[in-house]
Amino acid sequence: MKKMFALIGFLLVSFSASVAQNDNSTNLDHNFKRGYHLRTTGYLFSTNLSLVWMTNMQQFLKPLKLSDESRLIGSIPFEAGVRFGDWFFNLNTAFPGVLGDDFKPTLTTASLLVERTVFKSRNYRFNVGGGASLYEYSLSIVQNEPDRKVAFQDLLNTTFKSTPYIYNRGGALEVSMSLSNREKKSVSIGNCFRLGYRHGLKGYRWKSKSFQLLDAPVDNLNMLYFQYMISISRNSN
Amino acid sequence: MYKLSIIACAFLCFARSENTEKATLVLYRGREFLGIASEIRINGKLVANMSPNSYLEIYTPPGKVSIESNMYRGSKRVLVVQTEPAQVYYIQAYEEVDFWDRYLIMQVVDSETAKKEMKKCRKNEKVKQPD
Repeated sequence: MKKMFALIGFLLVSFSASVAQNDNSTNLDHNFKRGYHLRTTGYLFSTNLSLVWMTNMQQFLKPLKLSDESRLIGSIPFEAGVRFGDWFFNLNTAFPGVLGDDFKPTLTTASLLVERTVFKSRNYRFNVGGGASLYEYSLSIVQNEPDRKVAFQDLLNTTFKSTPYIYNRGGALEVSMSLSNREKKSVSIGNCFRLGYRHGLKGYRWKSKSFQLLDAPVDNLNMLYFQYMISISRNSN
Repeated sequence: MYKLSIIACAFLCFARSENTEKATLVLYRGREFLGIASEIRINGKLVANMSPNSYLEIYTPPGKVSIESNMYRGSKRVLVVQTEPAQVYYIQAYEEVDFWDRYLIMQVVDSETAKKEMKKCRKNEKVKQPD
């Protein structure tokens, strides 16, 4: 695992170094040394897409043909951070967006990310980084019965073909690379694209808030994620 | 034979005087990370599509010359240069990107700076010279 992270880091840095030699328009009128930023896309835009691997749960969902739906999860990213020169220290979170109807997998993450600009041109910064994160993946399975008739008075005493939310909560290490617009004014607005990989620290057991879930499987969640955010930064010398 | 040589002489003189009467614009862009091509118009006429790491040689009649750049999903920018006959003008161009817009910044630079920066640029051969 450590070797893989080291290899990814090495590849990213060497790629960036080779690209850096190809750009000669780095002169800026103002080279702001530090700043802070807020990044998001607002409540309606789920621009954090995660591709999740969880062996046991996906095996469990296969007979219901929900395995594929559990893999790709959209959520809303939000980030706050500071920049000192070419170093970024970010607190990143992504929370569930608009929920689906029947099958409702959601993913909430909170990450502490440190990124460094390894290549910058007049207009862009290319950063690589890593960090630690906490995640909670939760889902409930609802099987609709449109032909069934239930009296309103019996609503609380009737059983339904649905499960309460079950969740897998744990920690992960992550590596990321991002492309963002260079800050050119004291208040700058720009785009930020990030691609990252989160690797679960160990297998965590599936649990439910509603009851004690016995013999639940253990899953080590790994995920590849893509984020797009609009960044507003305040910069100074 | 005498008449023919007079005609040839007159033609050569005319051709030479026309060459020296025109001004030369050398428009160049250095290497740019994720830079995109831009349309270049001289006095309203499209002369070339200019990519990063390339340069154009344009011959124009002397006087006020309007150089207009136009980028895909970006805005127009115009630089007006007052040109003299038989003079060479070097114009540095580079892309500026922000959240709302992208455009080409153009400015006249001295020949020494330009020659240094243009060393690795490719010449754009697909230039339609303005009349």
